[in-house]
Amino acid sequence: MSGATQDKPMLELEEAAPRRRAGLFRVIVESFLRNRTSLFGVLVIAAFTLAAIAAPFMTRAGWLAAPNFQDYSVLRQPPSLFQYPPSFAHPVGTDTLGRDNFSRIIYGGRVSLQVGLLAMLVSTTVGVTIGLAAGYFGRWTDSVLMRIVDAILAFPGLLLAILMVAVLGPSLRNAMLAIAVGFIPSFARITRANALSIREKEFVESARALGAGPWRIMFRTILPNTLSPIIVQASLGMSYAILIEASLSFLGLGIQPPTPSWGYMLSAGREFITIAWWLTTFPGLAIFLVVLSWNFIGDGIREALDPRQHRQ
Amino acid sequence: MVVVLSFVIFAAVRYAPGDPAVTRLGMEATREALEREREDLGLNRPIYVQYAIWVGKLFRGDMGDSLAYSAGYPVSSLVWEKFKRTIPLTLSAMLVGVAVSIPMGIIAGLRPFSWLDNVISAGSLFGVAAPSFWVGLMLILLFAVQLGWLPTSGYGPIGQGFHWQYFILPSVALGIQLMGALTRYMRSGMLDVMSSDYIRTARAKGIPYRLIVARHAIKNAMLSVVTVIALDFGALLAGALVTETVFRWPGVGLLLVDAIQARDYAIVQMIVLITSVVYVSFNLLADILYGYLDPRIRYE
Repeated sequence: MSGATQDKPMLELEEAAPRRRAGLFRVIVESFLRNRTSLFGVLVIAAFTLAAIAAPFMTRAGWLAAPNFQDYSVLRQPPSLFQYPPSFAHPVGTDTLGRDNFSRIIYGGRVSLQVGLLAMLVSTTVGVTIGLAAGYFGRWTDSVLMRIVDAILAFPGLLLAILMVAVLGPSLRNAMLAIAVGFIPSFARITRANALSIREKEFVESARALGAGPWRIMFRTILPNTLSPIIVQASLGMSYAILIEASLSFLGLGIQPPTPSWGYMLSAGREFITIAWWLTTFPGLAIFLVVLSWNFIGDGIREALDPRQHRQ
Repeated sequence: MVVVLSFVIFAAVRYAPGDPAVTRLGMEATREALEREREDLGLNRPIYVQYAIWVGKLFRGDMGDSLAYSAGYPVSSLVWEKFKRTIPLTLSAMLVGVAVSIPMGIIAGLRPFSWLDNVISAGSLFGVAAPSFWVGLMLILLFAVQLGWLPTSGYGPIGQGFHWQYFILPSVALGIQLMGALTRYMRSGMLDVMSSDYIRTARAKGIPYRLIVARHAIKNAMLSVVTVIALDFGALLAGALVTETVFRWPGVGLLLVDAIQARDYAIVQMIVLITSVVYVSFNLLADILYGYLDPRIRYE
């Protein structure tokens, strides 16, 4: 499986600068925020995150319906089922049980972002450690670790997640785990490739001459210098993780009801697609916006970190 | 690679929770009957013997019988029946994806940063970010519910030939997944090629612009795209599993979901194995194709 096909275009490493100057960070942030699309991405994600964090407090304060609260003022006048189209009280309608869709989308965002963040945290930690060890130690450590990574790569990402959840049983934790495992290879490969080249640099040699052990060299000397492609990969990974989580929940293999999740809302709404368009439109729109935004952020970081940009 | 695959899949399913003997006989079965059933199924033998038997049977095309979903029916014919419906869907989705994204990518690549390019690029971003099952639902809403042009879901009357109306929406929904990525690749391929030296030489020789694009540029820009198409076939097959659920398409995807719910791991095992093998094969094919199309690339 080696050869011409690489996962993602890798970005060029900045020439060895073990300690970044504080000024560079500001340059990067400014060029990131000057980019209109990445600014859009940050704003959308910030809004969803804020809403997700604040949701329980807003519910307690009475500004937002509880996700599983059945609005009886709606229920009292049932047409055939209890879903109601968007109205003033329920801006994106209610579902078949008379629950407020807007509230469920916000609470669904909690699940979605939680799974995405945790999955990325786990897969970055594991993947980067594998990549560093493989790249730094080389020899048999490298070949063993990379064979394991290749084995994971042999499965299409979504299918691996489905298999794992099918075997472990559907739950939030298992969905997160299944998604995390699927992302380990890309982190491991990126880190390994960079570690291989950085290993030969003089400052690594000087660290070794000063008596630093392999772990210190790996995590304190090599890792900071290979961080930028990892960050880019992690933010792009967020978008895929959220997409896979939604697919799993859509298939009924992810978060189990009554906890609201976007994927499940879509599959529940699918039953009533001929009579209630708002049930499928809005949760999907939320997925779309969040995935798009993470894509924008990833691209924005990639461009901002590209040293060729700043020379102009 | 296939060996590793088979091992992982076997182990995953073998250690899955749930006792196949219980699934077969039901919760009320006596202890003795369960023990006899385990003996019959070979569940008491060492794990490596079970694996060897499983692989041996696999080569003879015997994938065991379905335990729960459709008890007693051989898994191989069950899964094959469904694949015969999923593969045409995957292929037509691929056709839709390629037919739309190649011209789009060419147009966008020839006029970078024009309004046309901006529209196409925005469209391809939509393709990348929109989940295909949601796109499917939106297509149903628009074309089936609002306009009533096409059927909402299903396969048409089974066993009565081919019904193209049922193919359109699922193919488009699945194809959009491919379109986004492919358009981007084609666009950047065209950009690269058009700024290369040999195109400049061709223009300097006075070859008309149309001819340059048609003869030289598109061919070379297609290079990387062809391999992406091969790479994406496996992903598309996996995506088809979800799309099928949206459209109630009676293929492998629906079978997989049903089998998981019924805890019928023999079926799950088979579907995952076949899909993964196809995926790996196409990855290999992509590598080979790339080397073949571009003689500058050589593998050691």
